[in-house]
Amino acid sequence: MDDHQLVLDCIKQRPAAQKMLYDRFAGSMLGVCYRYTKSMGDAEDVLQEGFVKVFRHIHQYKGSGELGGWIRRIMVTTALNYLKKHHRYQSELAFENDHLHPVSTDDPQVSLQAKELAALIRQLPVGYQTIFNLHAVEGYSHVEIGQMLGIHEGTSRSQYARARALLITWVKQQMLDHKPDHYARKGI
Amino acid sequence: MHEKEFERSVQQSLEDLSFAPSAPVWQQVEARIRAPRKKRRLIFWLLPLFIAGGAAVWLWQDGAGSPHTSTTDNQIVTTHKPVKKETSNQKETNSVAIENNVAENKPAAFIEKENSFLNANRIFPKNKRFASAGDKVFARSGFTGTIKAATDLKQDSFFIDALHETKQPILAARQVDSINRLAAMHNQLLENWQPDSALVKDIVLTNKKTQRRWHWSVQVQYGRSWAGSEGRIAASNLNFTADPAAAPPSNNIQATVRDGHFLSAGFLLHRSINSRISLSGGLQYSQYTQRISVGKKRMLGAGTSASFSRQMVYEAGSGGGYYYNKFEMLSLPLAVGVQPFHSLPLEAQLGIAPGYLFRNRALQYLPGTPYFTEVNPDVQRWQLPLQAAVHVQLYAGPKFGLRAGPFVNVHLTGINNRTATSRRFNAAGAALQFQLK
Repeated sequence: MDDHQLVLDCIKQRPAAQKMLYDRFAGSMLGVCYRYTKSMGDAEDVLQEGFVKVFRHIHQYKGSGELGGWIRRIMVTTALNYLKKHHRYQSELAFENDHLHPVSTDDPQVSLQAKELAALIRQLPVGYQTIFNLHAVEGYSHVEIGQMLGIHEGTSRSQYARARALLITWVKQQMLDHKPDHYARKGI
Repeated sequence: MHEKEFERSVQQSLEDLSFAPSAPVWQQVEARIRAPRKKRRLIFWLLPLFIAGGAAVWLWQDGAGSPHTSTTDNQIVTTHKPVKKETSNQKETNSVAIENNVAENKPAAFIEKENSFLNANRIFPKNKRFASAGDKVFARSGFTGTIKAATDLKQDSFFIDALHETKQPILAARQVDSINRLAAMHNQLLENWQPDSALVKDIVLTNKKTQRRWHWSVQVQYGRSWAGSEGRIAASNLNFTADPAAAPPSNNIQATVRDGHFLSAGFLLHRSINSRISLSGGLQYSQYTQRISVGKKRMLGAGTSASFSRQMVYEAGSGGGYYYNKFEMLSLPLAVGVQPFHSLPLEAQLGIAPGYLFRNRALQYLPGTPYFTEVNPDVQRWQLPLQAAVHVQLYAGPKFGLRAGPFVNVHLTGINNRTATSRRFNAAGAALQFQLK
């Protein structure tokens, strides 16, 4: 069944179509949620919340873009709301320039597997992790990120530069089989 | 697109990032997307019932506990307020005062005195129409012959007034004589009239029976309804969730959309505030439709997969028949009625009817195909129509009445969620109201 027909059936609230849509996109969307959170439990919470939104607002999908892209945007927005809502993320989501890390101009090619790279991204401080995901992976501009997170564009740029430098360091270390254990977020 | 190698390789690496969610995730999603609808339905049924029930109880208590009744022109004003009786001394004083006033050419004071005499009993109003009312009262009390005197009182007073204006001194003696007769009649009336007697109570009860403060009615309305975008439009604009385009059709597939039937039925509780103004409230079901010319009906998608159900579609173009978009609403009409002329059995009504669109069916274009399909459009569920109507009383019996007249409904809220280019429901037609007294 093509996406358009699937959407039409979901608008009619046909359970079979809803399950089909979930099965089609749940795996990749959990990957998106996983990158923004610190645990698989939190990622599944975001996934659940996101799919509830998808089904409740499926009629708003106009068919102009890819259905996967539309669902992905909902997941990202849901993840950001989740981070703002939960206390364990709030303290780290303060976008202040208190984490002083060197800015790197290196531009290496990443040869890690997706899960290894995602694991490294998740070990970034929450603020860095969020901005890195939004800019490097989702492709949002710093202006858009500033609007989404309620921060200044410059703050987004500087945080991204530091996140990038830190991640490059870890990637290099990872590629040399050195894990950045001292940055691991325990109990989050 | 990122220029830097690092970002590009990160994006490529993460494209394949995928995990299998645990089973409870779908179960919870499924439970949540079904649960709110049930809740809404429960509220949807309970809320109007609660409001209607509360309004009925309030009106019942208010109607039963009110110490006074509303009246019409043809009814007698009666109260339980005790009328101050004049003592024999006061009567004498009054008679002397009347004589003195006339002797001193003070007709205004005389007339005022006469009016106060009439008002004291609150049985005889100041115009001729009330003479008949007085007739009824005194006929029932067995006090015959007085009404004639009461009418004479007025005639005499006008006669005296006329004499005063023409200033004919020759008739002064007759004036004094008339005054003496008036005073005697006055005293006679007061002595025979007992305001707290069973007669007054009987009149009050009779009035209550004939003039009810509230009553029920069943109303049916039929007419035409419009939902916006009528005319020959691009098929893509049939989508109720999309903004309707004001521009001419831009694609080849078009549909002709016309106004449809409007049907409404419900019950109303009316309450008279006074002889001219009344309030009404109740529960009403309305159906708005919109007619679309379509081609033949077809069955598509007879797939082998169990999850892929067959789908009924309509070919674009005309010739096959019509499809009716249907929007069903339950509302709570609240209106104020004004009867501008007592001589005409006509009432003008203006009100609102906040309602909820609980069932919607509309035709929508299937992009890229020559077909339309039926969908549940995502429309603005809560609606606020403004209602105006004129009712003419066709029949008014002791037990029931019949009224009819034109009405117009204009929705203040749009159909779709966008406010800028929102379509609106409108309806106009005729209403028939069956009143139960």
